[in-house]
Order: sequence, then structure tokens, then C-alpha cells
Amino acid sequence: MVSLVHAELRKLLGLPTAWIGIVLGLLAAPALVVLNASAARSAVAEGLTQDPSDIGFQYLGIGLLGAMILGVVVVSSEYTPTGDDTPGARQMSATLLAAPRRIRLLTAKGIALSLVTGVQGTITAAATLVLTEQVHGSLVPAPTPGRVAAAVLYWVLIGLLASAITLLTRNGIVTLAVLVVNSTVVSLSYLLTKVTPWAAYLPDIVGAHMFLRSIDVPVEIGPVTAGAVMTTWVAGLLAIAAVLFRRRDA
Amino acid sequence: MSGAAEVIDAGGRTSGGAGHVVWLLRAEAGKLLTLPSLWTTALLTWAVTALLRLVELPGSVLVHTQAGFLVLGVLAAVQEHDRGGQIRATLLAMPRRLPLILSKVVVLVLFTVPIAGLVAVTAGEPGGAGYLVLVTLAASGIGVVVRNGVGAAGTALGAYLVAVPLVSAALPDGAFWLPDAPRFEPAAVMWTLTALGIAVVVFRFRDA
Repeated sequence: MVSLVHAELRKLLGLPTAWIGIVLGLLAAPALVVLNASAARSAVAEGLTQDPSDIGFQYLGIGLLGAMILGVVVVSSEYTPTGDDTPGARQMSATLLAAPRRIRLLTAKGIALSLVTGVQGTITAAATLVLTEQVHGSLVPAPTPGRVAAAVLYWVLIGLLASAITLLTRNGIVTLAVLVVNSTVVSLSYLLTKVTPWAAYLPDIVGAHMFLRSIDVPVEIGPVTAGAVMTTWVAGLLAIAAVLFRRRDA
Repeated sequence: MSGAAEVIDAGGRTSGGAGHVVWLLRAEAGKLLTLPSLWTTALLTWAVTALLRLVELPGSVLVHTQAGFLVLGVLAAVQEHDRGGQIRATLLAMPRRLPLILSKVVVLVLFTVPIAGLVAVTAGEPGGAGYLVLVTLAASGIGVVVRNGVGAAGTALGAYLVAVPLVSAALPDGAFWLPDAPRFEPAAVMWTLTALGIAVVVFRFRDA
């Protein structure tokens, strides 16, 4: 299992697109802290910010794009044709030849992805929050360790969610389109909460409750409930994807 | 020998000229319209638009469903570069690259206009159709340059759905230079022309 995880890690980190995801994820949130500093300060001064402790954390939501890209490419790279002249040959055939037990392979992929996104999320969260303290000083209350851990967990879960959807669709473009539409400034799931309160339990909205305090949704969701609901979503989708992956031809 | 050369020359310059263009357009249309992924994308985009309209989503529906058109443009552009390098066969049949890529653009416009119109009317914002055609073309330009489906889709979606709203929120003064979905404005035209211009130059001078 260790060698399998090691192999998956090396495959993932050998992809140029994965590095786009890594760099984008690392830089986006800290950059936004600096770029939005004056806007955030005036928002607090005018009393528009419901909970100043959310400043910093809310930028992590944009950096999530990096984790999504990683989750997509860890699967989609296996389904990309290996050569221009052999459109039928995919890397997945070679991978399954080396590791025919599919559930073990998937587990190794999941662990490798979670390691990368976990490290990325930890570094990004730390950098973003330290930078927020530097920029805003005492305006923003110091983050509690629990919220930081929750933000990193959200980061890892979104990566896994992206890989589960990609495994189901076997197409990176579809997953990217769905996830990017949902991570826009005013996200689709957020707007759906205006239509039905149940939309607050969609994975990306509910997960944000783990570390954000002032989300404007019609239902009250505690951080622990939020974590449980989002983990259930991801586990459920991964389970469906795993069953299909085992039964479908590669 | 010289007689044959004259026939080709005459055919290329006079009566054959217009026929040539028609055949080129027909060939490109044939390739584009027989792609199942394009029809699936168009159908899904329309269905999602209708659904969002049905649940009475606050704000513009097209802001979200423009994603479908971005994907449509990317797919139309990268299909010849994906799997099997079909572009080489195409270039063997039609080595003149400028007419080739221009006919690709024309065919994509003809394909997108009715779909954009239908989706815009479904969304209840008929004025947005022009904007949807523009983003499709811009995405196809990105597709020609990036040549990789996932990479191009990520770039196009990231630019129009993430970067533009973020930048316009941070810099309200720069709003004139940013496309504002779903408005048919100079900025949207400018972005599309830039993307297509770069694509044409890159396609003309880069190895296939």
C-alpha cells in the first residue's frame, strides 16, 4: 500500500496541470488578502461585515480552485489518451496492469490526493491567516485552531469531491465546469438557498459552515453538523464512484 | 504538364474560388455538427437554464449558464487536437491555415447563434444571446491556443467566472474593460476579438 501511494504521489506531482493547481491554490487566497485589504477595512468600519473573524477565512474559498484542479487531474490524467497516434490507449490501462485491485488503487489515489491537498491547505491557511493578522492587526480576532483545522478539512474534502465526480463522469471538463460555476463569487448553490432552504445542505455550502460564521442562509447549521454532512456527501459520492469504477471497463 | 498547372491555377483563382469556400465551410460544418459532445453540451446547457428559470433563481441565469457556452467553444476548438491528432489530416487536405481557421470561426458562429438564442429566450433574457456567442468564440480561441481540453476549459471558466467578477469587485474603475455578463458590450467584443486574434496568429505560425 505504501508503494502504491508513493507511485500515485509521483504520478500526480509529475503532471504540469497539477502544479498549476498547486501554485494557484497556494497564491490565490494570500493574494486576495492583500488586494482586498482596503475594501475589507472599510466594510468593517461601515458595519457591513457581520463577523470580522471571517476575514481571511473567506478568501480560502477562492483558493479552493487549486484543490479542485488537483482532484480533477488525479483522475482525468488517467483517462487522457497517451499518444496522438494511439487514441484508444490510456494511462489507466498501464496503471491497472500494475495495480489490478481497483479498490486498493482508488484508496491509494485518495490518500495521495489528500496528502497533497492537506499540505497545500495547511500552508495556504497558515499563510492567509498570518497575512490577515499582519494587514488588519487587531481588527480581526485571532483564529482558533479548531476553525483552521476545519478549513483544511474542507480543502481536502473538496479535492476528494472533485475526484469522485471526475471518476463518475470520466471527463475533467464536466467536473471543472460544475465546480467552477459553483465556486464563483456568488455561487450557484448559494443562490439556490434563496429558492429552497434545503440547498443549504449541498456539499459546498454546508462545508463552509465548518469555518465561516456569517453565511447568509435560511437554516442554522453548527460546525460539527456541517462537517458530518459534508463528509457524508463526499463519502457517498466516492462510494458510488468506487462501485462504478470496479464494475466498468477501464 | 504546363496545361495541367494552368487548369489548377485558373480553377483556384476564378470559378473555383467561391466553390472552394463553400466546400471548406461544408467540411468544417460536417465535422462540427457530427460531434456528440457538442450536442450534449448544448442540450445540458439549455436544460439547466430552463431548470434555473423554473426555480426562479434570483439574478441573471445566463451568468451561470454561460459556463455551458464556454465549454462548447473549448470543445469545438480542441476536438481536432485531442485524440488522434485529426488536425494533421485536416491540414493535409487544407494546408492554407488562415482560410481554414476563419471557416472554423464562421461555422462555429452559425452553430452557436440559434442555440444561444434559444437559451437566452429560455432564460428570459433575449438580449444575452449576443454575449453568449461572444464567450463561445473567446473560449474557442483559448482552445486553439491551449489545445488541451481540461486546460482550456479551466482557463476559460476561470477567466470569465472567477477572475472577472473578482477583479470587477476589487477595482470598480476598471469595469469598462471587463465583460459584464450577460451584456453585449464593447468589453465583451474586445475580449473575444483578442482571444480570436491570438488564436489565428498562433494557429498560423505554430507546428500542428
